[in-house]
Amino acid sequence: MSYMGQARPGLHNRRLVAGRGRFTADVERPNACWMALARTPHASARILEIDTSEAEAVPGVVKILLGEELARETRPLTASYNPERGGGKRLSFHALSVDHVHFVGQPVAAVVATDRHAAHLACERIVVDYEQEPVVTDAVEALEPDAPVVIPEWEDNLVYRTEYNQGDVAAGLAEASGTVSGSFKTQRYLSSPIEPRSYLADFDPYEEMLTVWSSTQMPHPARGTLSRCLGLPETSIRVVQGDVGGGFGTKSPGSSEEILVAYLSHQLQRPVRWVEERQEYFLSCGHARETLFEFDAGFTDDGRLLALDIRVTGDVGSPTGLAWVQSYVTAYCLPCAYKVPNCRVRLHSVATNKCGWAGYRGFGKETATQAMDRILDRVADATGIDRLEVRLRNFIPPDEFPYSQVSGAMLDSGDYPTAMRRLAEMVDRDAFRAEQEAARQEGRHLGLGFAFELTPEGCSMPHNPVLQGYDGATVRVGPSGRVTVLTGVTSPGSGNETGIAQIVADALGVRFDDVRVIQGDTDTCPYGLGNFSSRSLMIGGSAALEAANELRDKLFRVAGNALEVAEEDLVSEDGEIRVKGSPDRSIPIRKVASMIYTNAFGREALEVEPGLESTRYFRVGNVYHQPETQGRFSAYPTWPYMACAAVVEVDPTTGLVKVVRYYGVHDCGTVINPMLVEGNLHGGIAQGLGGALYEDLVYDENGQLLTTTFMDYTLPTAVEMPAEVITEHQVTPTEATPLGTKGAGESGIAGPISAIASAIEDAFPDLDLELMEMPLQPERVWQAIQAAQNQGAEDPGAQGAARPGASAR
Amino acid sequence: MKPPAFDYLRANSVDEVIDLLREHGPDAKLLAGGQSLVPMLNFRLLRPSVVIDINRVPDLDRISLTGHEASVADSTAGALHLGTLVRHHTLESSLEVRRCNPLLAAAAAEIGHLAIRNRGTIGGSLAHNDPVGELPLIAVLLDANLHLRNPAGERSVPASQFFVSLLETDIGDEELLTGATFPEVRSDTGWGFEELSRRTGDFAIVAAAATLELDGGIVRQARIAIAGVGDVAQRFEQAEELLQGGALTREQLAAVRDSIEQSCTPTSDVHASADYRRHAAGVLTCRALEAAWSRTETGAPS
Amino acid sequence: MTSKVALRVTVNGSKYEREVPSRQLLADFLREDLGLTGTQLGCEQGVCGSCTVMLDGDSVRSCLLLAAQVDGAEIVTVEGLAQEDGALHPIQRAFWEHHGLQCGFCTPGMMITALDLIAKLPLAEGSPELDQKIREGIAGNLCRCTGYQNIVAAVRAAAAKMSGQAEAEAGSTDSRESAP
Repeated sequence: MSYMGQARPGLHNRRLVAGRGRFTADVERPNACWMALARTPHASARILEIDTSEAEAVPGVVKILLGEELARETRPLTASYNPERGGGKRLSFHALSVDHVHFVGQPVAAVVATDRHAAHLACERIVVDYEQEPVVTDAVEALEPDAPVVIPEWEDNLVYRTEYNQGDVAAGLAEASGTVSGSFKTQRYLSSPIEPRSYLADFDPYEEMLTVWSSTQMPHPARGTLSRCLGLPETSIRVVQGDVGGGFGTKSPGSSEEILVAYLSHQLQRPVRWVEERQEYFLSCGHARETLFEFDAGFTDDGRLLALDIRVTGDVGSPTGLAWVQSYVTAYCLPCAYKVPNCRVRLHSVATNKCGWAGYRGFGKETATQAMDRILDRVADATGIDRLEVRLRNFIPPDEFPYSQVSGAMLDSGDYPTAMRRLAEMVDRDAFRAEQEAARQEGRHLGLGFAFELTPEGCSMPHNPVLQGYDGATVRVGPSGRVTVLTGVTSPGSGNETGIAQIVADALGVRFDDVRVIQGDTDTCPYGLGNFSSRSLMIGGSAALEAANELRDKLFRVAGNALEVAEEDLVSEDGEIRVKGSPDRSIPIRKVASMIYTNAFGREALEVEPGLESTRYFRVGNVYHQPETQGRFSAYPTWPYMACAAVVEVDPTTGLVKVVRYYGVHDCGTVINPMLVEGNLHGGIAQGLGGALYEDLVYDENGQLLTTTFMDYTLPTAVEMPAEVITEHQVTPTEATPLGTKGAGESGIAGPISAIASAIEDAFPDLDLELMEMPLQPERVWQAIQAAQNQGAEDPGAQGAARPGASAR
Repeated sequence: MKPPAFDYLRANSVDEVIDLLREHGPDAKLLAGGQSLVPMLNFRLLRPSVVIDINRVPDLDRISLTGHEASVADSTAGALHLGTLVRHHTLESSLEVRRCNPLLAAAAAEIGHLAIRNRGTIGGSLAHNDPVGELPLIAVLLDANLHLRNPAGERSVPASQFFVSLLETDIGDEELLTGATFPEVRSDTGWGFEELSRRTGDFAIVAAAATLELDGGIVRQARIAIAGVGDVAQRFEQAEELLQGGALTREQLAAVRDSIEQSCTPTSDVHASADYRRHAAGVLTCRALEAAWSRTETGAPS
Repeated sequence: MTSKVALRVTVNGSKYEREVPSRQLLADFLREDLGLTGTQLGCEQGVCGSCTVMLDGDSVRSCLLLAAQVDGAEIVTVEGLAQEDGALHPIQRAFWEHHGLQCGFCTPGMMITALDLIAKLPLAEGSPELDQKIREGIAGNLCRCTGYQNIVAAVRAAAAKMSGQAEAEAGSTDSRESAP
């Protein structure tokens, strides 16, 4: 039997439901000190003087660290993909600001004390004399010539710019039978894992060993970052990943607090810990998403895009955020799943006096998808062609893969039209229209909207210590035949360890329960990049597969000797190696292992190397980093996608929106564990729904963040999720991985934003409703409906005529 | 975050609470359910030197009825007496409360989530006086009486005078809110309670409550109160008067809505603009009135 | 002002006598003094629900209670749900089997909430409002991984199992068998 393809709950579930999770904040070290940070209340200010005398007097205070010392003793943090490489600004900063602060919440001093209350109290007693400076909180304003500059040494706020071209966009627009122009804006939001970040460092001066327990997704890159910044050899640092309470890209290396805890423990030669407070998380951990798209799209009468000129402005906040590159990815993905003969994509990544970006599920791909969905709905409205049909007409055809997109991105495989048509069947639009009409008779407004998300995975960037498309795995078969797998990839709860165990169990032919997977420790696991870009199962699982295959060959060789048959005639299953066609001739794997371990000079095992352990590295296909003629490169091996639909009910009086049903036809290639993929989809959809309706980081004009608690920054709860989430899989395997797996960790998050916006518009066929700014909180929806009604009232004759597509949708 | 340092003292009687308040004055904070106080301590927004736990004071969690309509023949309404330590979940699930004042039970069920309602107390909620708190709103609507103990003795304050301004009440430094008396909502009185919030369990953006006392199908008295359009929950007497002396009609509802939109003066914040709050106040009031009318079993507004 | 308060409390069936600082939160007492780290802190203001524990039969936020307040009380945390021999409670079993968790951080609080919900609300099987009631009942507990769908399924299954068990009693589950 095959374990691959089976629905199995997560391997760690049993331990976690028993309350035996071991998150970093649960780890105890004797005599550990607490670190607390003094953070600036200003969005832009020069530091004139820091007076720590009162703070030092607080009993229990061990050390107060200021930026000067840190800058002197450590190397700065840098972005793994530095804009400097592409002609942009150099991003490089220290965990404590030295003379200038760029956003509210930026750390200016670190206090270490024997207990956390003393550390907090001392932080409150640090007196900083600031000279406040002008603030810029809007990316478009930040590009104006007279705008305040976020980093005083810079000439302007443009972190990075790039442009991709295909065909002739001006000619395409001129030639088009119709054009639509406009803008679409996604708000600033963030990943919000429920586990706050946490670090605990313990330096042993006699071993010269710094052990760092970290709520990280990427232990090895974290070790590399610490080594570079602290000037310690890699061999003197061990990073141990605790259970991670959700990561979603945010728990990446290079956080200020991780460096500070490690530096302070090394310096003080005693354990130092920090556990993030929720308010600190909102203020300083890292935001994402805030992107403005301005577009001109030209199309034919039958709704085909002839030309698309799209300008992307990413508000990446303070350049101390290392994940600015998400805006780069947004531009890199456009125009996503669509074939646009003439296309120009221009990107401006812009600094402002707000918190910088941290990685967040979707990593910029989701906003690209959302922009294309909204543009296609505008084309549908302008041409009167059905919204779903307009997508079908513009999809990259299945026979054109691999397809080189405008940026040079190489889309590996897919069948978009089939997924979209299957979605249409599932949704049953005729039945929905009847339901919609019946509801309308009762005064209720139902709407149906579509989206098509494209989520490239397995990111690999040139000259990058973090984003690399390979990973390592060790598979060990012990003397008893039990299997241990050690991986360079990690799981922040997404469950790849379970899928990897399924792959290894099948490859070796052992029982699933006999496989144990160990992850997240740089001293025991092979070097690897950890968890991001849905890579863990697709890349880490492939490495484990290759290592397991190597061991299987060795086991077969010895078993062949024992059974006196050729290796090619053997199969293994359920812990037994059997002769094909002769089920009675078999030998248990544990016996074969025993021959290798306990009778190394015996007849059966003499010709093989002792031991049963293999470490293999797997490099994913469909990535090329040798720049082609336009200097472009391919960063993503696989391109999973999902056709999505949402049914919503809107209360026009209050603008409240309830998502009633959500549908998806998803393709992540070969599915190893449908239960875990479904679980990931549900989580992704919930986060997308949050981004569509509930979540918003709001700054005032002084750069003060107004949403710093879970009361003000509202994550969806169980009630906000639709009662019905109906998903199906379509499988187009990729050639980039041996099993055809494409990665599923980010799927689901992009679709809801555009599907829900589209559905709200659809709920009001009589109104010219265009929802092009997110999120769609009740007030915004109410205002849009009011505006559209007033417009209709001013020009009653235009109703219906203004929206030729209204009835066709 | 974690609370600043303070001394924890436990009172075992009302007298002891008063003695401790006299001793510590404004440096003391009373701890009942703690669902508002402890977050404020954790955020270090409050730094009392003493926290006085009143949870063990006997008899403050009592619910009792007087003059309930079943036992009183005349039209004088009965009353529901609630000790300050009655928990929201008790209020929501108590059969006595649901029979005597179903509006109060319904409003209590909207407070936060189960774990919050298991701990949170009516006294804490009334004394905290959150501008969109459910219980202050109902207290204002029904003009509940709030009972206070102080070194000099006892006094009662009508809700109209009790809720002073944003998070402020008439409770003195040396006073304990011992309970509240809510008038009965009799079976000839329809009631409605409407909240608008982004998610279930959130603080409301705007909440509205209404009652309609009928006399032979005619509105004898209407009450309307709204939270979220000012520092404290407010009655809207002008709008109430529009409803007196007839059956509820669509025209009346429109007039009520206009009146409320014109007379309320909300402000903007991160959750909603003043305009939206004004609009929502009108909408929710009409919905509450329609619900109230339908609960009088007279059918939909004509 | 580091005054201490004497505390006698029963946690998961064991009696403890301790002196605790006045300002210590119940969650920190459980985690740090008793080593019961299954109870998690996600926001420290009572919104996320991760720290939910059972206090004398009611689910409460342990970040909104002072340890000193629970003198004389009986507390159950996630560590107290399984039987002494390790056999999981039906709610744990249901979360495991239905994959009602991913990272597991919110799970202890979610399960305690679900238990209170099952005890307090009539969650009759087959009732059309059942799922909606479950959703409303767990809405005070945030989960960022699962989208709640499998959690609702797990609570529904546990409620059915527990009502069946209440009738039949004796329904002991064996934690050692593996999940299907």
